[in-house]
Amino acid sequence: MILAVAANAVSAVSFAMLAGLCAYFMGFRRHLVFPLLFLLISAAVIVAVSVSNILERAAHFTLVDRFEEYQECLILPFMLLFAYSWSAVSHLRLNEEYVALLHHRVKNDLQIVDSLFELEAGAEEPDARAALQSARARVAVISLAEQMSLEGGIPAPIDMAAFLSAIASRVAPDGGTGGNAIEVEADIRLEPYFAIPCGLLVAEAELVFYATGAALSLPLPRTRLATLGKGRYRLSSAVSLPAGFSSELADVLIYQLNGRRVEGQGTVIDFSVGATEGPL
Amino acid sequence: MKGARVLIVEDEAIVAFALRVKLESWGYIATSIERCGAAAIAAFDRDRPDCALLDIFLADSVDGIEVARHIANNSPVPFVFLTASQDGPTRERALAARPAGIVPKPYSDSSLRTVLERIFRTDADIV
Repeated sequence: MILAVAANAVSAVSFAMLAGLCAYFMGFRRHLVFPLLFLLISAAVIVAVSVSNILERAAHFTLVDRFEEYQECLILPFMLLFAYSWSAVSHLRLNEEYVALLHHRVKNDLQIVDSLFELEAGAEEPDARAALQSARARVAVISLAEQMSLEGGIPAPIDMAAFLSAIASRVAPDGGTGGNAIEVEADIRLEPYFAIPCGLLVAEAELVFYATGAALSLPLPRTRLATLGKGRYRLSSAVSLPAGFSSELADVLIYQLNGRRVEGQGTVIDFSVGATEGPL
Repeated sequence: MKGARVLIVEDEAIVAFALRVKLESWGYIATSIERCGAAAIAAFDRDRPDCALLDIFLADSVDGIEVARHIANNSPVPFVFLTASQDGPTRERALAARPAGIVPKPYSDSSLRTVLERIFRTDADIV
């Protein structure tokens, strides 16, 4: 019995090391396969041998005796299962650390881009200054999306009310103290893929408003996001985007949103976040 | 508080330089820019600024939280973390140092300015 346990333990440790090595050298998806394969083959061999022995000796042992005789056979699969779980958890933790590191790098890089624009923002030519300020606002939209989608530590849909209000505050020369420019229907949350173009459209409208239309004193809120149906939304702004870059950028963003312009005052866009629904 | 002296601890040169320009445009004085934790501690002891803006991950093995602990243990000077890090353990360590604020990167002008104004308004109230 002791010899059998020792032999099983040695083989279990060997298999565990092998499984660990496989897990270490393989990617997460691949490393699922190999330890499980070892586990299944080992378990099959052990069960076959055990059943064969039990059948041979069945006449001479009680059920309790059989369990005591063969309980060491359980060591190997449990060791393998432990090794597999341990390696899987280690890999998951490692991957989480990599993801956190990547997000950290992305945010740092966005800060560098913003700082570069900021350093250039003192340009003497008004057009260049305005272009740099617009570029900073667009970078800010992406930065906010990055921050807000990871607020809870894991990627999550973005609370559009907080997101769009923060964008309006960033774009506003007074930091958003002049009243709430944005109204969002309660609890609209979108994935960054849709939230970012939506945010960029709002930023564009606000930029145009402060550049050309602030004197018009449009009533607040200037921009609204409302639900039209399941996965369908309407983004409407009292600000008309002028022909040129703003309008071209808007067309690209509308395309990403599976959306279309709706005739009306200002800029009205209906869009759908359902991938299967196709463009509106 | 116009003319308040601020230590900048940031390992990204462009970010640090833009931060200094920004602070100076708001009326603050940047005592120095440090990219390493050890140099930041030395600069703090030397210059005794009114406030410190600290990145967490720096160019050497002494991170911004250790710099913050040094500041907290040796003075009542408030400090603010400017960090891109959102992971739980780092955030817990940062909060344990009792900062006057944590401003996530990439930060807006208004978020940074609000924190600084709050710090110096509070200080003025105490005085």
